Amino acid sequence: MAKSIFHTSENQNTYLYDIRSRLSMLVHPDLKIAAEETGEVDSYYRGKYGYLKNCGFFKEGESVKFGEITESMIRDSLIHTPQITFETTDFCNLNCTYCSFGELYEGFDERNHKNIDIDFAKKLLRFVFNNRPESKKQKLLIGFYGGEPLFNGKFILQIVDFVDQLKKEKYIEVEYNITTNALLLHKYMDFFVKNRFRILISLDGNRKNHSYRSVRKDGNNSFDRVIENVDRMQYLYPVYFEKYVRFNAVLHDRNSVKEIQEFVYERYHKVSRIAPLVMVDLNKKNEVVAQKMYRNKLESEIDFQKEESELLPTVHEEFSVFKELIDFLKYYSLNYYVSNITSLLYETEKILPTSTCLPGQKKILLTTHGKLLPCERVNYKYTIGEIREDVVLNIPEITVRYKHYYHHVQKICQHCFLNRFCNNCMLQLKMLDQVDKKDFVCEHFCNDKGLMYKLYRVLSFLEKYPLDFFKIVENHVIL
Amino acid sequence: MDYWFTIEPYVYFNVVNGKSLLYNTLDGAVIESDSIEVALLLQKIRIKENCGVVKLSNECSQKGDLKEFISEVRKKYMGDLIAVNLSKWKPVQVMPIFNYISNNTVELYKKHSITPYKNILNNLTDIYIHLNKNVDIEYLVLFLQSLPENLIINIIGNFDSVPKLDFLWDFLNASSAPKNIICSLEEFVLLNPVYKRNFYYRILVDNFVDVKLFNTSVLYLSQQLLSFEYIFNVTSIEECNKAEEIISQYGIQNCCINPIYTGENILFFEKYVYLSKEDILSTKISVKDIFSNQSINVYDFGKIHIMPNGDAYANVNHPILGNIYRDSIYEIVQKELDEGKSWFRIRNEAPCHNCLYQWLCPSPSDCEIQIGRSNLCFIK
Repeated sequence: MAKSIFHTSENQNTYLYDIRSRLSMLVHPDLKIAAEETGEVDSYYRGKYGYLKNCGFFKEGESVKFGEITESMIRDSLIHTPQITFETTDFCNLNCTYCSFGELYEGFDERNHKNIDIDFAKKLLRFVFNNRPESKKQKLLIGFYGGEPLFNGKFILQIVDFVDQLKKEKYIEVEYNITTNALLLHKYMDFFVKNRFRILISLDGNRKNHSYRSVRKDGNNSFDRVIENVDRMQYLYPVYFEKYVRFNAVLHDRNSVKEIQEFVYERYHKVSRIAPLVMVDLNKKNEVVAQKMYRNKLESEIDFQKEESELLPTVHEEFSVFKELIDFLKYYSLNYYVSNITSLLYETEKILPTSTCLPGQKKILLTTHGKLLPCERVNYKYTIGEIREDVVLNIPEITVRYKHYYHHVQKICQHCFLNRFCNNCMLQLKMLDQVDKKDFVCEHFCNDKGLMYKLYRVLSFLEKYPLDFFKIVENHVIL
Repeated sequence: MDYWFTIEPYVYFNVVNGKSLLYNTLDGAVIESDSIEVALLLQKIRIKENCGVVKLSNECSQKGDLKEFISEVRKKYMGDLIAVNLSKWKPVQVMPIFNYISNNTVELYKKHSITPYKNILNNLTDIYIHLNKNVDIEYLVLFLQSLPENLIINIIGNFDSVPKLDFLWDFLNASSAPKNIICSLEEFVLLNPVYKRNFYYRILVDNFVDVKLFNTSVLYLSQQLLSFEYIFNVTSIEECNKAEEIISQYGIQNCCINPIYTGENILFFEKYVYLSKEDILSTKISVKDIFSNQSINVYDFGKIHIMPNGDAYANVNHPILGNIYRDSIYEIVQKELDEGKSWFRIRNEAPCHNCLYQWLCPSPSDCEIQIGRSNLCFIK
């Protein structure tokens, strides 16, 4: 694997990227010619090429030394989890065509109007409170997810009450969040404001854009009811709305990045998060339907950028390339150390393959069936524990399982040009079940051309928005 | 013709009071300048909108101090000029952030590195266990069992007087963690041979007179094939010379000389320990070193000392963080991260905060605390 790669930008500037040192460097095009011996160049650049070569550039890269996962890493990560999310109910009052618990997908527990067990939730909370030190600085985040969590609003009220009691025994700063379709928002508005809930509202854009989100009872588009509730909240609590309410849209064939952002910004003065349809764990029978509904986010963003919309500078931070720029500056530029001061202590970095969180590192999700999962985005088969009489976490078993995945996946990672900068979760790989088989393929595998194209995109974007460099390095904390 | 001028991202540069310094981390080359034009050019590179690249006309790059400066920069491969007409739009240079910021650096690094989603115990690298006759070994072993695996465990003290010491040795012998014993020459010679395996020895040499004792230790270490390092604590130039003599006489490879401030030997420090500009620039300093100097105290970061009564410190010269009989290691580390004075003690105070060499200089050591100065140099 080569250590240093030349690449260009859309504006025909030339750059050199050195993988080993994470150094990206603007260069004269003659340096590339000198390195590749493709023509006559000023002797200065032949000298510069020789100098850089002597300093360790352009050599074949050594293989990456991957670290090992241990039981104590998993134990620490689980008992000090910063967030608990409750799958409050598996029922939803909407019947969205693309719902990840609907006909398009498989690999989730059966949905049968099941609400979460309040006693299980209390046991998990007590477990987390017992293991956390008292702190006003380190917040514990408590999230509510569904189905539609407000369909079991009573549970949410009980949990907030229970947490208030726990806080009397040991003070821990708690912050609540909820993801909702807003159909029942009017019933809980005051409660949310009082308890400073951070609310993420699912809204796919205008009425036409939103039409996959139909009400379960009558099959009608939920758009009007959602908008009525959200408008009301904005009217009644404008200051709260400004700070605590955000939007999330699913991108599909009935909307576009442009339409979503224009609608949400014009109406609520906010930039929406946009997620493409998830294309893993698809039900074979409905794969064609899913393919038809799928819209590529990057392509939709490029279409939007072609238009000279005044909204572009406002929403550009939601673009995929901006996220790529974050990854570039945070993981594979020199400024990596700003977010990883512990790496400064060691000669050789030892990283784990992929960027899979350790169980509990970001959150623990408790399902309506009492299972514990690393988050809501992974298949239910990746359970990390359950609640019975007590919180059951089989740490040796989890460690063996993760070691098995890492052991096999790293054979592929070893040859990937993004192996030290991967931002993919292993548990979302399509073929993880076959990780120990010869024909295992990682769909995110990146060769030298892939890295060059990625660097081309990122540097072109940065040339367009140079202030993003500081915005990201100084302010954008990777979570 | 117009040019884009840039400084290479592997170059550290700083401008203070009209003086400029550029340091090439690849080969240690240095450029210093008193020219206002040079200072202004470097300041321009630092402007956020420029993102590491400024436009220079041919005329501008060919006149006065700039001509000489640019020529030297190119000669030392510390920057370059690229004709504007070679591309369609202004390029960018992804500079290390240390070339842009000099204030509140710790806050920046802490904000990004110590987040709720990173296990704070990952910041812990070393535990120093200080022993004496009052230590409760059984509780201490329980505490050691609560620590993450593979921390470096350092044992310091007078082992002879410690009750139930076997309990600790048994635990340490079974542990796969790297283990150091830090002891004086006298204690090392007296240490029970049963315990001498599986440890790395850092032997403190204070007594330069007892050659016989030193001889015994050298003989023993070579016979037993133990891993070791001698640390010669010196308080004067005479002791320093004596230590060098011993090192040469015995052909000792693993050793270091450690100056100790006694309260009465400031002249020794001023003459032999204080750094000059040449001392700083003669050391090869990497990009990683500069990031370290700007963010953490390289001597203290990751280390926690546990005293015989259970008190915990990040540096024994600074306030207590907790006690292992009352607080978990998690709480102790959290306290250092939130309120501590040790792990993030960097050169951000006067006079260092206004020095051209600020981030090339190594972290402040314990000597600075003991002497009561924040810089041990002649530059400011």
